[in-house]
Amino acid sequence: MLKKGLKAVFLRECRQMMSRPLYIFGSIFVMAFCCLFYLSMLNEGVPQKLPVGIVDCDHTNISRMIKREVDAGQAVRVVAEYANYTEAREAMQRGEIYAFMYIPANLYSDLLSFKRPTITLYANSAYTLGGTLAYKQLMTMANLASGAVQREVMRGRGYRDYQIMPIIQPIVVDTHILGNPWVNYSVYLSTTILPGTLGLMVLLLSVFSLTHELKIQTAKGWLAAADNNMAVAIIGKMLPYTILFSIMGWAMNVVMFKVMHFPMSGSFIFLNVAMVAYIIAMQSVAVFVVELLPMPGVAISICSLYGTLCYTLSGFSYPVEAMLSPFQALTWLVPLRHYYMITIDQMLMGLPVTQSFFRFAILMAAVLITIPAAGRLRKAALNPDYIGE
Amino acid sequence: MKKYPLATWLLYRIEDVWYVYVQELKRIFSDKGVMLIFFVAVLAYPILYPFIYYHEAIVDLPIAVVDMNASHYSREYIRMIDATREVAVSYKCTNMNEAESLYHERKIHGIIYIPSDFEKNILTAGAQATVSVYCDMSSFLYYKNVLQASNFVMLDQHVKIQTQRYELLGNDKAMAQTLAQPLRYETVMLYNPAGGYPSYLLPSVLILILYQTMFFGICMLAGIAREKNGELYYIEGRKFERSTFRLVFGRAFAYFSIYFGLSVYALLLVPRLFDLPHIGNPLDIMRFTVPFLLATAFFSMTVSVFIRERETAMVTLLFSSIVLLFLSGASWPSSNLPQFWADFARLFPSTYAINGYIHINSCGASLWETRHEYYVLWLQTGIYFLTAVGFYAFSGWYYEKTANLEEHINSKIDKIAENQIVKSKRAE
Repeated sequence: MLKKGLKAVFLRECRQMMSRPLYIFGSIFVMAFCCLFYLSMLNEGVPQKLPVGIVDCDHTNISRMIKREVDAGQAVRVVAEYANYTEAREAMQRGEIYAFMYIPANLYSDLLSFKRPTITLYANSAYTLGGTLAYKQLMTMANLASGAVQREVMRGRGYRDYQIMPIIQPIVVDTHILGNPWVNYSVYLSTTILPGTLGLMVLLLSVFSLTHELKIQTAKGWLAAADNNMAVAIIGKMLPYTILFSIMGWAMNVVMFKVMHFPMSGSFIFLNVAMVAYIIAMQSVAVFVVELLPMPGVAISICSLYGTLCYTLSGFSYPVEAMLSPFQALTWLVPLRHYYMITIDQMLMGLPVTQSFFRFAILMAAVLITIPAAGRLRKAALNPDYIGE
Repeated sequence: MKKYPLATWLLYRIEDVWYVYVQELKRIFSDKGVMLIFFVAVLAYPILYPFIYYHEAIVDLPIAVVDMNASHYSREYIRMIDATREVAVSYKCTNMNEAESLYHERKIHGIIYIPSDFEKNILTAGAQATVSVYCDMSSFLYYKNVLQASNFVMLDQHVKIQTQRYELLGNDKAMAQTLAQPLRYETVMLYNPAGGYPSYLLPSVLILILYQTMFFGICMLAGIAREKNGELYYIEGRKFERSTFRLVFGRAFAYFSIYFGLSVYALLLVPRLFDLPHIGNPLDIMRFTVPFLLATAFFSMTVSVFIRERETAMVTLLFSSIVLLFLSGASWPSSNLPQFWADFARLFPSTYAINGYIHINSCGASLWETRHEYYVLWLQTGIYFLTAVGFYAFSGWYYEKTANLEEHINSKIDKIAENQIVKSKRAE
């Protein structure tokens, strides 16, 4: 009996999904577009050849050599040479360059007479990523230039290179980036932004499909198909989306981890299981909001406001511990936060699956929030006048 | 047809635009959903985001050290790491396994490993000492902090040891110092000196909030009009036939006047309230806002022609917020966008608005120095005004056509029904 109701609601929903382009657009088209967009845009991994400028007030061999060396690096390219500081600053304000190096007049003669001239590096940190990377590269170049001068002086005094290197670089720091050794930004950004977008579409399409029944007053038919069993009605209605989005989530993971070879030090299978739990959690939020506010316009607006905040509160770009404490607490109510933590566990840290069970359990427990207020939705479904709009 | 003098003709037009304007305002203020987007979202989000992104940077990120050397030099190195603003040494582990399990428990976000020959290599004039740094890459800010702290300490120690070694080679102290740093450099971080995350991100978010709320609000209003009357042209009280210009002008003016006020709040007041960068000339910012809001209004009105229900735009296009942020180049450098996406980005007023606002507000550029963005926004205003008028006119024509068709079909159906009634009566 229950099974029959479930099947009836399920098929009814599938028919509705096919009846208008919105559902297919919102799921398949949007996700395909986003995969294409983020993965192709971030394909470079680390931004390279960032535009920087040089102000050369010295015009000597040495200053030109420094310029060539800066340009030769992979991280930046010298796009322009400016006559003075003001010109370079204006170019930076216009956003044409992310950083510039100021080489003072008399650099060469000061070097020769051991007057320790100073190079100045300016970076635009209003654009954090471009500014920081360009700045890092210019700083490396300034250090290398200083080392090169030392080497030339020591060579002149008759020392050999193997004797000089330990003096120039007495401490070597070898850096290990755990789990993502190339510092590939796509690995870091795509693996959270794409599931975030998927979750947003799950949330909005679920709310839309639920409230649409109320809006066009077909909710009675919906309940009737489920033999007036609220649980069957909701599960049957949500199931097509769970299946559709799970398939897309898996496809997304396959593209990222198998086709593009993002690192995966843990269980790929478990990540895909967590994807389903994440989708169900987002649907539970959708059902919960509609139960509390069975009004199409308001429910969708509320979910939009919540959905946008999910990216921020997942803490993937701005860490949770830097947030104000009330917001730190709020992150527990964001499924993307838990999915992101599971991704880090599995992708970067390679932890055993059992370590991620806690986060997984929270995602599954989200289903419980749909239970208390289910009666309100039934009431709204049975009495069209109940809708406040 | 009676001919009016030009002044009267113009006066009638202006009166019409004014009428559309007032009606549109009434429509906005009478709808809960639109009010939620136009006012609640625009007033609340600019406050909410600075509160979430409250701290400019992470201070004293916990890391662990594994000191296998336990010497004077290694302890000094660790003390200096601990003294940086970026990290704090919260755990001292005896081996790497211990540090690794702390990392897996997420108690630390970096490990510094000092091997047992550290002191020996520092004291031996011809040797290089090694320090290993392990960074957590689960967030860019963790990685940045650990790397920066370790680099600062390394460079600082370099100069110290180099000076010592040059002295050992027989140079006097002054000469040794000069040799250790023959070429000095200083760094100046302009416009966001602390490298703070909110100072960099929030200016773009403020523009995006205005842009997206206006876009979705306008799409919602179009959906509401369609649901109520089946067409966009409907104006309470009178029907505007062949008056697309007046309709588009009046409505855009309504959105513009609301958002101009909101812009003062979001773009001028909020950065000052939350100590975000605000070194730009307020007058320049407001002048820049004019083409931004107009271009956004006309762009949204162009798109809204395709919206048939109040919710559809929000459901299907909300994902675009982050896409637009990336397209603007505020996050991923615009010099590194693939060509196709760089061209795609040019379609949206948000791209130019975000960059222009950062240039003026955060970098202190004048409007003249931001003229590229400013002129492109005016260009977009012109283009999207034309597309809005064109699409509106088309939708009106299409509606009339389908309405006529419906009438035609209905009358046919009526006739058939009548015939059948007549037939059945005859049969009786």
